[in-house]
Amino acid sequence: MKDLSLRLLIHKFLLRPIIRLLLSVQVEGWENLAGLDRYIIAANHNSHLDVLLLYYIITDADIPRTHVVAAKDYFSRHPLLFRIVNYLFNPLWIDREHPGSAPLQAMENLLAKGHNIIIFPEGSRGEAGQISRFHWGIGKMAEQFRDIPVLPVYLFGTERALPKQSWLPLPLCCSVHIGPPHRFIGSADSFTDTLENFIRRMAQTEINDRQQRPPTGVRSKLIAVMGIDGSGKSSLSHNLSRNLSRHGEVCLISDRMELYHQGNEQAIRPLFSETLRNTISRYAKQAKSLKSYKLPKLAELLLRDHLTGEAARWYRPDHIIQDGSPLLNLVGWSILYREQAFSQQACAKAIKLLSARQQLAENDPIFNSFPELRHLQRLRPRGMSLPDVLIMLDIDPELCCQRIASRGEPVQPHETVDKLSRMRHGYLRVCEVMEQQLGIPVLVITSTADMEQVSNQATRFIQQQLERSPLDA
Amino acid sequence: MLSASALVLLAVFLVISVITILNVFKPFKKPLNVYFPSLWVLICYLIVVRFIGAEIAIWILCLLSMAALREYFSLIAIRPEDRLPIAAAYLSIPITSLLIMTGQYQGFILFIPVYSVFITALLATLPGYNSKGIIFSLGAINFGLFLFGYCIGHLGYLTRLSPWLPAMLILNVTICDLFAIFVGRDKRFSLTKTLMLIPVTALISLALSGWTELNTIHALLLGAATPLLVALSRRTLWYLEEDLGIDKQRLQSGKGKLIDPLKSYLYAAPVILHYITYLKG
Repeated sequence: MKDLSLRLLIHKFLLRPIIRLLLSVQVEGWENLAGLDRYIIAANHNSHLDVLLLYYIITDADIPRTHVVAAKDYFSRHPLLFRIVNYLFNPLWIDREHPGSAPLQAMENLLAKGHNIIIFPEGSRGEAGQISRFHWGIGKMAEQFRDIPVLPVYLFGTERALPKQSWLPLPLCCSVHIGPPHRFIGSADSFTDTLENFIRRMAQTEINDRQQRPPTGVRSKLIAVMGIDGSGKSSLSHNLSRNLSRHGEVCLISDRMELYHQGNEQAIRPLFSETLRNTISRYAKQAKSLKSYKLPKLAELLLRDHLTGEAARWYRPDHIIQDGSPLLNLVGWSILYREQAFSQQACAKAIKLLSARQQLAENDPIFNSFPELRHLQRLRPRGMSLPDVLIMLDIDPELCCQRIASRGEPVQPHETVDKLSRMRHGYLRVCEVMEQQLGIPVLVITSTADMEQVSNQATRFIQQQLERSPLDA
Repeated sequence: MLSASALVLLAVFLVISVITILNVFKPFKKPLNVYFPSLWVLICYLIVVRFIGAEIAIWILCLLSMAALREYFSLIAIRPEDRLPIAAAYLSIPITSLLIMTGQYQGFILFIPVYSVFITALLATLPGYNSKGIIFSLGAINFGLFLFGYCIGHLGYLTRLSPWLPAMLILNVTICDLFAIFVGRDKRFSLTKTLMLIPVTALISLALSGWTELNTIHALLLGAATPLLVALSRRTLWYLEEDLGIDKQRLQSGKGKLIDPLKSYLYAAPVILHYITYLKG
């Protein structure tokens, strides 16, 4: 009794004040623990401080009758540490080197006496901040002791205050999240998964609120929507931005640069290159002939490509959606100016050259057919952006012309059935090159059905493709 | 018998204590419910300065500074390699307090911006296996140390000069803070609303000038400058708090409960100390 009182005093007047002073523990969900006469606590494990935090949340009366499951082989390597831990926490020792021992029997004895158990289902301290897969032992325990509730507990901060392989604890605030009591249902495996998922959800909620470093080496996924004027690519781009932004941030580069988060448009910091692009774009739209349209359009496309890099740099969205890919538009548009030289092979060469995927010899015949390529290559030496996924809206040019006319805006020089038909042909060749020679997933949508349906079809395609090939290059 | 100044201080202490106790039984609206307990701590600080001694008060401020830094370090994304620089940053605060206590102004002014920066950078390289993100880490660690160690340290040095200088600062900042809480301007800097406060704080500084030993011009100037400094500091820290994930409606221990009430002092304390040291003479 004297021994127990001393242990209680150490917990109450030494360990708890130190923990409070050093770690300023914030506890959420204390009500889940109140009123339980017996329980099993299942917590994530990243630090030796975890045990102290769990003893911090239990009542004084529970201290003598709570036992943490600990690895005997690990602690017995340090005799002094073993004696201290043995005295303060009265652990239920598991000998991992002799798995033949019967820990479940020992647990049963303790639980039958009205005691509580603390267990770390990950087995040992994992990587700091990571939750490893839970071992099925916790499910087995819950199955065997069905009348005893299991409390999932998420510990945050201890992995920073005293991570594995560190000897110096740092004063950093920690938090303990106590989940509601779980009763066994289903199988041991499924119950283990339920607990693990619950703790992972608590972890995600805690981590989402905190400052995060900008990820390094992860780039935004680039999705381009192509189609001739009046095909509905702007509407599709907007719908895609809203749909994809439910799973992350999306930056849309259309007539205007927009940022979407959780389906809604967000305020955006203005960029100088966007203001410049808009001015040039307005000027290009006033052109009376294809000849006067060419140079401002080329400048606009180059600025739009530059803007893609700027968007990735400043906003770090998960996805960037281009309402018309500058590189592919540029290549597709060449059919209007040099139809004789336009071919699938020329398209492939131009795309590879402009995206800096391939260098060509100085005397390559393509430079004779398309001398502009040399200048473009010099202007964008690191290459223009190549989309990771391409969506092509293949709509009848006559229908597109009707849509353009119904807008009531001045018609641009290329917006005739003949020219749009040639552009459509050019874009389709570009799509073939992208799919067949560059292995980039392309979805060609020919349907003129409801835009909502088309958007959903395109969203599903993009999600499938991005899941298939993570693009963290 | 207690002097008039001591009686004023005790009266303020009693009023704030009553308000804080009332807040415990029937919590005020947010963020007043957090503001009054922290204000009570600062008034206690003044009581310690006046009745026990500046030395003890400086060490209390040292603990407050370390607690605010702990909250900041708990919220920033740190790397496992950053442990030694963080330990050095914590250690810089008691050293700074020692320099304040012994009146070594030059040492206090130079220690954190020069030597702590050198030491934390050196310690960050000691693990020697990962340079990725080291600049980001050092920036974040030293910025926190600068705000919560260095800037708050100026309040300690003001205490050393005269117990009434921090009293003047705390009173003026409290008025600015309460005005900001009620008018609700945190992010946006409103010059008109800031200008409205200037006559009030200038008059308070003037009223306290008998105890702060500032002449009329200096008292009026410092009083007038305080709302401007508080507004700038609140605006700057608003962005910092947002990035740290501090929810103003749910200030908790470890999630902004200390950083938030201290933010208004971060610009005002250094500027007032430097003004007094260099211009008042």
